[in-house]
Amino acid sequence: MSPFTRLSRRIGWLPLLMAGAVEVCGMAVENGLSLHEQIDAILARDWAKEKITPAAASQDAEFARRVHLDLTGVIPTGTETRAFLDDARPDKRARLIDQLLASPEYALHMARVFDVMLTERRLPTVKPYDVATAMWRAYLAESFAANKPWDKLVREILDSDGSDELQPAAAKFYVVRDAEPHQMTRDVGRLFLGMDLQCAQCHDDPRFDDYKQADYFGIYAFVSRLSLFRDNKLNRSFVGEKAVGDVTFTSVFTTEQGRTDPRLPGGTMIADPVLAKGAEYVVAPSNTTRGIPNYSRRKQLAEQMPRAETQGFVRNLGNRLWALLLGRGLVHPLDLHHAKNPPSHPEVLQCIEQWLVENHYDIQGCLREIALSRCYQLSSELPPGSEPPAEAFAVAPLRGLTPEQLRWSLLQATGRIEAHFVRADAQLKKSNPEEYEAKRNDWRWRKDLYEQLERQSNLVITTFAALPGQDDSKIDPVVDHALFLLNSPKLLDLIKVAPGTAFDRWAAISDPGALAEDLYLSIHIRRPTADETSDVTKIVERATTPAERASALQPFVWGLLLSAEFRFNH
Amino acid sequence: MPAMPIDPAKARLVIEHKHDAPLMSCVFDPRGRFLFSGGRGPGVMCIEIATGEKTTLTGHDSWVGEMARAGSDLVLTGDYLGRVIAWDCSAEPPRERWNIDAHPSTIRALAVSADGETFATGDRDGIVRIWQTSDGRQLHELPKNVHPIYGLAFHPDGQRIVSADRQPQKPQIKVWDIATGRETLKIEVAELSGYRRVEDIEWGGIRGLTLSPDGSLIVACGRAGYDGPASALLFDSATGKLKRKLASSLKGFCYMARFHAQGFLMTVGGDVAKGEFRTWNVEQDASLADTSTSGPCTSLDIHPEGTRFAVTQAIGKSSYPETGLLAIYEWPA
Amino acid sequence: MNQPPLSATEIGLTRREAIARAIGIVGATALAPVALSAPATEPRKQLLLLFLSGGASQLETWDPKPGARTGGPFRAIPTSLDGVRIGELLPHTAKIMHRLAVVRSVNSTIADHEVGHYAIQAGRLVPGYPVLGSAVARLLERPDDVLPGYITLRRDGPKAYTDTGDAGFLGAKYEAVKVINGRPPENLVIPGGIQPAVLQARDAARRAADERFLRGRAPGPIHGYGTTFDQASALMQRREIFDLDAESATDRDRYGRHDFGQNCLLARRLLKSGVSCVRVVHHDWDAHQDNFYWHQMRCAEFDRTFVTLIQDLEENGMLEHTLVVVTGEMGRTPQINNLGGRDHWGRAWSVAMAGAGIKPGVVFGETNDTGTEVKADQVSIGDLFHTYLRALGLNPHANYHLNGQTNPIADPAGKAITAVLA
Repeated sequence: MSPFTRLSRRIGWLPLLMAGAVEVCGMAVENGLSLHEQIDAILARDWAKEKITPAAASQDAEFARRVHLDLTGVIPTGTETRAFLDDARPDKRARLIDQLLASPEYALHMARVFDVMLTERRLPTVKPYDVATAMWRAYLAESFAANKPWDKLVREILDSDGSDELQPAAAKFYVVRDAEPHQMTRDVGRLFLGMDLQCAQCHDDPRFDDYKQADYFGIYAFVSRLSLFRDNKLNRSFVGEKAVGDVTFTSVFTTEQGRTDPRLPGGTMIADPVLAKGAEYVVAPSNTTRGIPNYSRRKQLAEQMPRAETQGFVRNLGNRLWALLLGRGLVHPLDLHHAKNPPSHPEVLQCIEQWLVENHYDIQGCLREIALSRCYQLSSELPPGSEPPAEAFAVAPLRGLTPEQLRWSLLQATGRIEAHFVRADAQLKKSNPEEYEAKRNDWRWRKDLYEQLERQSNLVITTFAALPGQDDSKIDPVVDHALFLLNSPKLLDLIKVAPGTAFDRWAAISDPGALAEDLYLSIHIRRPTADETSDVTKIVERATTPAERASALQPFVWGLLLSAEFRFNH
Repeated sequence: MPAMPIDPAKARLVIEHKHDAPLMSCVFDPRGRFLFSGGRGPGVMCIEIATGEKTTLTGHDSWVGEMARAGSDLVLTGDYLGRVIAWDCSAEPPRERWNIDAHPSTIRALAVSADGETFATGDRDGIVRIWQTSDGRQLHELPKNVHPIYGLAFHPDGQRIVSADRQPQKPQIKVWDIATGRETLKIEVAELSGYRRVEDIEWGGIRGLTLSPDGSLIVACGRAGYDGPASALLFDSATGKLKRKLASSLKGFCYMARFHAQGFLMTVGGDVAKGEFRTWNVEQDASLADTSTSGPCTSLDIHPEGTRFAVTQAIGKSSYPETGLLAIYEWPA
Repeated sequence: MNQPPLSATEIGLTRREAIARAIGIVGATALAPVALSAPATEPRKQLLLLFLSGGASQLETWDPKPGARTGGPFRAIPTSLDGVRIGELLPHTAKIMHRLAVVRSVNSTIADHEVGHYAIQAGRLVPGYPVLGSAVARLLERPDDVLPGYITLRRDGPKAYTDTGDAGFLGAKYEAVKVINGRPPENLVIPGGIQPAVLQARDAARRAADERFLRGRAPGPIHGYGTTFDQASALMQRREIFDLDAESATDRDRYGRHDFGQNCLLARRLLKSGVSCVRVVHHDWDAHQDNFYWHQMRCAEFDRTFVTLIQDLEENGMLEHTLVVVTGEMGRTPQINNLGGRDHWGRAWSVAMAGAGIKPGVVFGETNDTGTEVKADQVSIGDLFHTYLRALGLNPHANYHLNGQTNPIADPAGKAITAVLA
C-alpha cells in the first residue's frame, strides 16, 4: 500500500488533492478509487477553490425520476415510484441504476438518443431509399443491449456501405447525409471527435488557432471518393467508393494550395498503396452497381477513427456520456473543443477518458459510474443564497425533456404505456406460455409494442424537435410549444379521459388522500404535500360517480402535465 | 469547303494565345483572316492569323459574351450591357461600322441568318430582336418571353428562328415564324434542368443552341441534371422529338455546339478547372474524338474554310480564374 | 414621451416590474398587469429588419464597380441622389435613394453564415447576447403590450439558418415568434367543445404547480417556460394580425406574388398592429456559382417589393417612427470564382437603412476601386448596432441587469455612425 493510500484512508482524498499532492487519475486508480469517487473528489476540490457551495443531495423522489429519464428515457410508473420510495435498503440507488441499465428500456432509449445524435433527424434527398428508421434503431438497440463497446460501434458505422446483410442499417450515417463529402467531413469531426471544422473548409478559421484547414481536408480525404448509389431494383441506397481521386485544397483568400492524403487530426497521413493498373476495383462503378475499390479509404477511416491515439476520439465519448447525464458537456458545446474552449474541469474529463480506455469503451459501465457520483445525485434545489454557474456542476440543472422523453412521459403519466403492455403481455402469455418469461423482457418484443404506441404521438416529436441538422438541446421553450400544449387536438387526444388510461384507476379511488398520492406519484414521481392533497380533495369533493371524478380531474391532470415540474428533467 | 474531306478525329494544336481575363466567345471573320475573342473585359481581342499580330478593339463597356460573323466582311459582337457592335473586317485592323444599344440588359444569344442579311439577339429579360446586318436597324421583336434567352439559331430557310431559354425545371426550345412572330413549335427540355429546390434556382438550363446546316436537327447544349454530365441533345426540328443524347463524361456543362460543313458536330464544355472539346457523328452515341483541356472550354468557332477551329477557355489554378486562353487547332489535309 | 425614460444605465426590470416595485407590489416578477397612469400617446418606435440571408453581393447592389476586374458585367445606374449610383439590378430602389442611408464601409471580418447571422444581428461576436429584434423588443416594450415584441417571417427547410436562441439571456419572452412558410403559429384556436371552466382549471393548476416548484430553484428556466403560456394566450386573442387574406388582392399583387413579397405585406400588417420588431428574411443570396444570373433573380424580387413597402410605410405615416434596416450576414467576394460565383466576404460590404432616426439621402463610407478594401470611414458590426439603437431613441451605452448579471446592451467598443443619424 502506497504512503498516499495510507494517508488518504485516514484523512480522505480531498485534503491531498487540495494540497496538490496527488496527480489525480493515475494515482486514484492505482489506489482503488472508482471513477465516480475520482469525479467527486476533483469537483469538491474545485468547488472549494472557487468558493462554490454545491446543492444538497437529491431526495429519493428527485433521484428516481431523473435516473429513469436519463437511463430509460421515461418517467417511472406510480407503482415503481412508490416501491422505490418505500424501499429501505441503503444501497437502493445503486441497485436502481443497475436495474435500469440492465433493462430492455435502456437499450431502446439509447437507440433513440444515438439515433438523434448521429443523424440529427436528417432525411436523405431520396427518402424512399433511406435506411428505415425502425431497422436503424433496432441495430442500435441491439448494440446497446449487448453493451457493444463504442469503438466497435463506430467502426461498424464508418465501415458500412449498406451491403452487410447482418447490419445493413449501419450505413445510415452516410445515407442520411447523401454521402455528401463536405457534410460527412464536418459531422465525422463533430460527432466522433468533438470538433466542428466547418469554417476551416474555406480557410483557416481565424477564431481557432488549432483548427487548421489541413485537418478538415485530412478527414475529407477519407470520404471524398464516396457517393450514394441508389439501387432502383432493391429500392435501397448503398455507399459506393471510387478508387481514384486526390484531395487538394485552396484557401479562398490566399492562392496557397495544399494536398493531403487521408489523415485524422493529430495523426499521420495514410498514403494509398500503389495498385497495378486494372486492379483498382473489386467491382468498378457503373450505372447498375456501386464501386467497390480494392483499397478503400472508407475502411481506413473505420480503422483509424476508433482508437485512443486519435485526437479527440476518447474525449468526445467521455464528454458526450457526461452530457447525457449532467445536461451539459465538460466541453461545451459538445462539438467545439479547441484550445480556447477547454473543458470546464479538465481533470474530470481526463479521468473519464482514462477509464474508458482501460475499460474498453464500456458505455454502460461509464454511465453507471457517472450516475453513482455525488455530483450527478445533487438536488436541483439551489444552495441557499447562491446560483452557481452551469459549468460548475454544483447543482442539478433544469433541462427540458427531449422530445422523445416528453412523448413517452406523457404516455406513461396517463397510463397508456402500461395499458398497452398489460394487454400485449396477457396475449403473449396465452399464446406462448413457454417463451413468455424470456420474451416479455426481450427488447425486440418491447420495441414493437413501443412502435405501435408511437403513431398516436408523433406530433409531439415534430413540434418539439429542432430542424434536421440542428441541435435539439439548444431549443429554449417557445410560444409554439405552449400553443401546442394548450390547443392541439392531438395533444388533447393523449390526455383526455378514455378507457384504458390512468383515468380508469383514478376515477375508482374514492379516498382523496389516496387519490392525491396516486396522482402525484404517477405524474410528478413524488408524494404530494399537504397543500396539494387538499387541492385534490377540493377538486373531487363534489364528484359522486367515477365518471364525474374523472371529468373533474382531467383539467387538473392537464395542468400538471403542462407544469414546469413535468416539462423539465430536474 | 476544303478540297479533301478532313478527318474530324485528327485535330492538332497550332497555337495558343493567352489573355489577361477569362474568355467566353470567339469567331473567325467571314474571310478567315482574323480571329476575334472576348470575355470578362470590355476589350475585344483581334488576331490577324497570318502574322499573329494582336489588336484590342475598343467600344464595349462590359464583358463580351457573344460573337458571330455575317455577310462577306462583318463580325458582330454583343456584350453584357446590351450593346452590339459590327466590325468591318475589310479594314486592317477591323474597325467599327455601326454600334447599337440593342437591349436593356445582358445579351446572352447572338445568331446570324444563313444569307447574312439579318441577325438576332436575345437577352436576359427574354427579349428577342431581329435586325438588319448592314446598318443595325431593328426589323422585328418576338413576343416577349419570360425567361432569359440563352440560345438563338436561324433556320436555313430564313423564315424561322429557334430560341432556347432558362425556364426553371423545364428549359424551352421554341421555333418561331419571324414574319408573324408566331410560335410554331415548343419543346420542353427537362433533361437539361438543374433546378434545386434548396435555393429555388435553375442551375442548368440550355446554354447553347445550334441547327444542322439543313435545318433538320436542333442541338441543345447543357448539363444533364444538377450533377451532369455535360450533354448535347439532338431534336428533330419538324416534330420536336428527341433523337439522340450525346453525353460526355465531364460533370460540368456543354456550352456550345457547332456543325462542320462536312456534317459532323463539335461541342465544347467544362467544369471547375477542366474542360474538353469533342467531335461527333450525329448518327452515333459515342464521340469520334475527345480532347481534354486545363480550363473549361467556353466557346468554339470553325474557320469558314473548315480546316481550322478555335476554342476559348477560362484559366486559373486557384479558386478565382484570372486569365483566358484562345487556342487554334487544325485538321491536317 | 409621457413616461419618463428609464435611467441611463439601469434597465434591469421591465417597466411593469419597475413600477410594481415603485408602488410596493410584492414580488417584482408579478405576472398580472399593473394599473398605470394613461399610456404613452406618442407613436411607439418600431423596427423592420429585411434580412438578405446568404449574403447579398454589395457589388451587384449598393456599391457597384462597373469596369473593374472585380466589377462583373453589370452597369451602375444613376439614382435620385445626385452623384450616387447603385447596381442596375435595382432600378426601382434607385428612384428612392433619397429616402435611404447606405453605409458602404462595413468590415465585419466574418465570412460564415451561422456566425454572421448571429453577429450582425447581435452587434458582436461573443455569443449569448440577444439579437437586434429581441433586444429592441425588450427595450421598447410597454407594460400594456399583449402582442409578442418580435416576429420573424421566414421559410422552413434547408439553409434557413435557424434563429433559435435569438433572445440570448433575455429569455423566451423575447424569442421571435415565427411565421414559417407564411403560416402563422399553429394551434392559435381553442379546440372545439372545451368548456371555459376546464381551461380555467387547467391554467390554475399549472400556475399553482409552477409557483410551488419555483421555491428554491433557479427561476430562469421556470419563468421562461411559464412566459410562453402568457405569450400563447396573448397571441390567441390577437391572431387576426397574421391573416394575410384580410389584405386586398391589389396589395397582394403590388407586393409581388412570391414569398418575400407576401411576407413584406404581412410585415406591414404586423407593424400596423403594433408589433415592435418584425424581421422578414429574404432567402438564398448565397451565390457561390452563377452569381450574376442569381443576383438578377433575387434583386428582381427584392427591388420592387422593397420600394412598395417603403412607400407604403411613408404614406401611412409609419416610416418616421419605423427604423428599416436592410442587411445580410455578410457580403460577397470581389473576386469571381471559377463557377462564375462570388464567395463569402466580410471585409468590405454594405448595409442600407431608412426611417426613424435616420438621415435620408446619405451614402457613408467608401471602398477602393475594386471593392477589396474599405478606403474611408470603416465601420464595425458594433458600430452598426449602436447606430440602430440610437436611431430608435435608445441608449446603446446602457446595460441590462438580469439575474444578478450586468451585460452591456451594445458592444462597448462600438460607436454610432453619426453621419447617418438624423
